Amino acid sequence: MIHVIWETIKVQMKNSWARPMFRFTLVASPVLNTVLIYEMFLHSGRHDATSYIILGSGLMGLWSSICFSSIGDIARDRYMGVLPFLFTSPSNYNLLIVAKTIGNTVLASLTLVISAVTAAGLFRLTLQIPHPGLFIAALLVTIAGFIAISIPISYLMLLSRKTGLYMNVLDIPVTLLCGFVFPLSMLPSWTRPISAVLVPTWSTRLLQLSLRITPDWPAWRTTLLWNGGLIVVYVGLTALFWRVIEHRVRQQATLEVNE
Amino acid sequence: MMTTWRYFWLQAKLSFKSTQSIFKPEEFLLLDLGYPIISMTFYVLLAAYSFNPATLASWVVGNAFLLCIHVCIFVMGQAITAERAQGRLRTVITAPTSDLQFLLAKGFFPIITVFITVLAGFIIGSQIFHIDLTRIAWLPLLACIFVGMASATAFGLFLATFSLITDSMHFILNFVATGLFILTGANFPVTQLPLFWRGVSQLLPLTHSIQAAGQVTAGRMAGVGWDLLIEGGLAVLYFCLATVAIRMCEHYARKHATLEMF
Repeated sequence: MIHVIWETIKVQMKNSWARPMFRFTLVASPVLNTVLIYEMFLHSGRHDATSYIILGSGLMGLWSSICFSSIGDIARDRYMGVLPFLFTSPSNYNLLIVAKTIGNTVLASLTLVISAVTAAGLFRLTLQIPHPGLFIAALLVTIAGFIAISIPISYLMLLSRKTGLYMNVLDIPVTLLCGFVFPLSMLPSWTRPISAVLVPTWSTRLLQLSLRITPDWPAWRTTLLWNGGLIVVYVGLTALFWRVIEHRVRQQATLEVNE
Repeated sequence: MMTTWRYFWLQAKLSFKSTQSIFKPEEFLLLDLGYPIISMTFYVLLAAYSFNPATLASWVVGNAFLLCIHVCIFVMGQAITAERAQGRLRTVITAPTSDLQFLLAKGFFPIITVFITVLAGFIIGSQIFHIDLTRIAWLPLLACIFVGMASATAFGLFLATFSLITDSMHFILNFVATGLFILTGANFPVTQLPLFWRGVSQLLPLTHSIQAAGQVTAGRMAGVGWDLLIEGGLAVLYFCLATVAIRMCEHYARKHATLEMF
């Protein structure tokens, strides 16, 4: 099992890197987003500007990579004719999807590094990390959260041939609702419940909390609980979707042809 | 002449039908209106937080114009790539119809859609962000949108020609599209840019029409005519460049036998 996961991760990373769009979301997008957000915050005088510029553009790149890779992978497999082979291979298909998503997300988390390097190189802007241990822990939770959210969404894509539409449509709304580049207080109150059920909202909050000079432990605990709770919910959804979708595509023979 | 128009119309209709027929009406609205408005809202809210301005009018105008990127840059820019993926590129290249006419036909209906999207985006954005529409001179504003769309389409056509010599169009188009968010003055004044990039911004589509539309929305008409003239000039320039580039790229692709693979 470990061998299957490791090999799939390696193949996925190579395949993703081979695609120009992934190279754009991984390398060019964080650079350009950092420039755009920096210029927008240039005269803002906001104390939190640096974290929004560096973390925000990095998280935007990370989410875009997931949208255009993990979520779109099923459509690509279908287009290239390998979906039925993967679906029916002796290695569990769930395992393959998890491994592919891990490969993508780990590779895509480089966007955070690229944003930081761009901000430092072009604008001499550095993120002050007072507690590196806390920051790394928050980063690991963030990666786990992004992996957890992308798997159930990828499964839903098995039901549709319009993956291209959905992966485009998911990009900006999640960036908007999860507060990557501005606080959620900017949004109308009716959007709060939607933000609350999206794990990137809590990952972003955890990353921002990890940058405080004096750790706010009660806030850390609450945010960590939300992250953990939502990851468990997403895992549950993944299992549920898998049972329903597997049954449906086999029964209706719609794995490769859909409405 | 009539035959040319008939072929143009047929190609335009078939192309639009082939890309849109899989969508239900609500999906069409989601992609062509819902998503662009959410995208515009995102950038305007970012401006509201970072600039904290008294009015968000200029960001609503600028980002409404940028809604055309989906069609003018991506749809136009990927027209040739899509034909290659479907195995029709050889037929298109060897057909007696000119390649440019074929590309324009592919963009015909999407451009009408995007004109409506930009206008609707501006009106809906104005309602969301409480912008007074009563002071606006609508005719000059429509002229700004029309000229802006023309130059962005010509620019998209120019970019599309490079599909004949590279397989990295997704990278190029996304790079250019994000570049337009930075360089057209839609999200922050171009005066903030270094001198070189300020010069580049003047040569890009949309910069002048956004500036002109900003003036019109503020109830001023000074410099609007001049900006529209420059934007119109850029439309002609990019169209001419596209005409030359498509010949050169086609020649290169034929010579190196790289029309369908690299």
